[in-house]
Amino acid sequence: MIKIIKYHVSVAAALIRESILSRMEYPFMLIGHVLANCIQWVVGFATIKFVVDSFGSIGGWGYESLAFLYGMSVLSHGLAVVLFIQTWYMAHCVVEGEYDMFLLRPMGVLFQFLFEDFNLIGITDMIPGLMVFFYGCSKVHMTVSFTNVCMILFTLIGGTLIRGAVWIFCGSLSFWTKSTANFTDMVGALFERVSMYPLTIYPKWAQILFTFFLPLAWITFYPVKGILGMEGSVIPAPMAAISLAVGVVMFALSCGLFRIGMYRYESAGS
Amino acid sequence: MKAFLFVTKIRIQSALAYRFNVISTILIQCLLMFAMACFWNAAYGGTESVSGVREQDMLTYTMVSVIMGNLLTMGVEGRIESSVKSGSVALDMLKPVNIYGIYLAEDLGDMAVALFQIAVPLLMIGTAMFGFPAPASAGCFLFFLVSFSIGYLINWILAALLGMCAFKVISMGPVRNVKGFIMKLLSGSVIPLWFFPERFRTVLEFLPFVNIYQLPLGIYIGQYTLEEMVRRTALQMFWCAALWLIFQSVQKKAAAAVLIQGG
Repeated sequence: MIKIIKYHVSVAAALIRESILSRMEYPFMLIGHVLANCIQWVVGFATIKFVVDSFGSIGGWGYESLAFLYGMSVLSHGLAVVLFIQTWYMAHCVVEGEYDMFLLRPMGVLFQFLFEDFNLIGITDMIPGLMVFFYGCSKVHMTVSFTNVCMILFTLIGGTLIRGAVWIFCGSLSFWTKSTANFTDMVGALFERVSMYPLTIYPKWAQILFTFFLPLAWITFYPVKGILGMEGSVIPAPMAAISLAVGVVMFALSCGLFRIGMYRYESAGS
Repeated sequence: MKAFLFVTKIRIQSALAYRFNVISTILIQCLLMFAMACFWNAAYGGTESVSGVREQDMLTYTMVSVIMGNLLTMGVEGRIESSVKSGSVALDMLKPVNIYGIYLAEDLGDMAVALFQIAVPLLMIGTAMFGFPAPASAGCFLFFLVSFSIGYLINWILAALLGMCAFKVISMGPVRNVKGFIMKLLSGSVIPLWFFPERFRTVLEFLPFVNIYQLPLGIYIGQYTLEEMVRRTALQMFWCAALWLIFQSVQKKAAAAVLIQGG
């Protein structure tokens, strides 16, 4: 067992090293992406700030907590993009028969696929993410304590896994549809709207939808609410832990779907 | 002129071939419209008016802004970049028509498609959800159309100017995205200028970006008096003309410095 894990870690490390080196070939591209991402999130955040300045609060959330929510969301977005960006092109891989290469190797297909491309450029999302996050932390007077650090880490891991799982779900659909239809934009819009703004601004049916059926509200909304201690919850467990659990379960389910889909895979390329 | 119309027609036909793209765009835009409406609804939270704008006006503003966003998608930046990259810009330049005229004709073709494929469905869905986004008056609507057209040209020239950078740098990387993000904020497409901090707003009023979204939308919901409308439209026309002149001189320089790749 330990041997298998060691083997996987060494392969992952080698793959990550290769992809970092290949990205470093184009340093200006990297700098460009740092600027682009910083501007993107600063613009997004300015939008919220201006509105809150004019209106006072949004959906019962003040400026400080919104800043914290926004920071958490950008951070988990950045992590998900670093780790799972390849899943955006799953449909393409299925239709073009690009899994052939992975199937020939003596290792799990999904493992190889996920580590094949470690997206260094995604780290550029983390820079503005960290800026907004620390700004938000100082605004809500976050204290550095063991519980807080744990809760924040749980939330980030859970949120990243939920995002990755949704991408894998959408990509795996092409095993059945055999189409290159790409849901990335649609899912991205959904993530942004649900994870950067408080869920309370949406009507009841949407809140129920995003809590139970398409649990995107667990990416940031519920755990952040828990961390900020905004209101006594009905459930005894801390929200961040539930968020982590939701992430793990969703990710496992999406891996399962991928595996089932793999049986239907027929190499289509030439 | 006939050549340009032909390009527009071809563009319409090729856009009609991708059904999934259309459906997914409509879905995303509906989502965006709905989310923005919820956002404003929550922000107002029952207050009658903030900064002199009523909630109903803000809903109209949002709906029309989302629809406008789909009509104002500019292909020209990417078009110039990809033809410089592949070297096909040489072929474009050999043709006995103005290449920028062709690019504009392509974008107008895309807009014509978007009008029926996306704008009309969005308007219907939006009307079903939040009521029809009626303009303040018939006069306002006419003024809006004029203002929107000039805004379209300003937006197109800005995009073409950026696209022209490709002649120098070949690959632009994420520069186009940066422009998109900045425009989104400065043009008032997401939040109107009257919610911006005072000083920031004063500066923005003099930049060309507000003429693309803010001005037509402000006119649509009847935010300006007649006198103000005329004054602002004059400023808008000035920007359009000024940018056109800049575009002309840059274009001449770019044509002289063009580097043909591939062959």
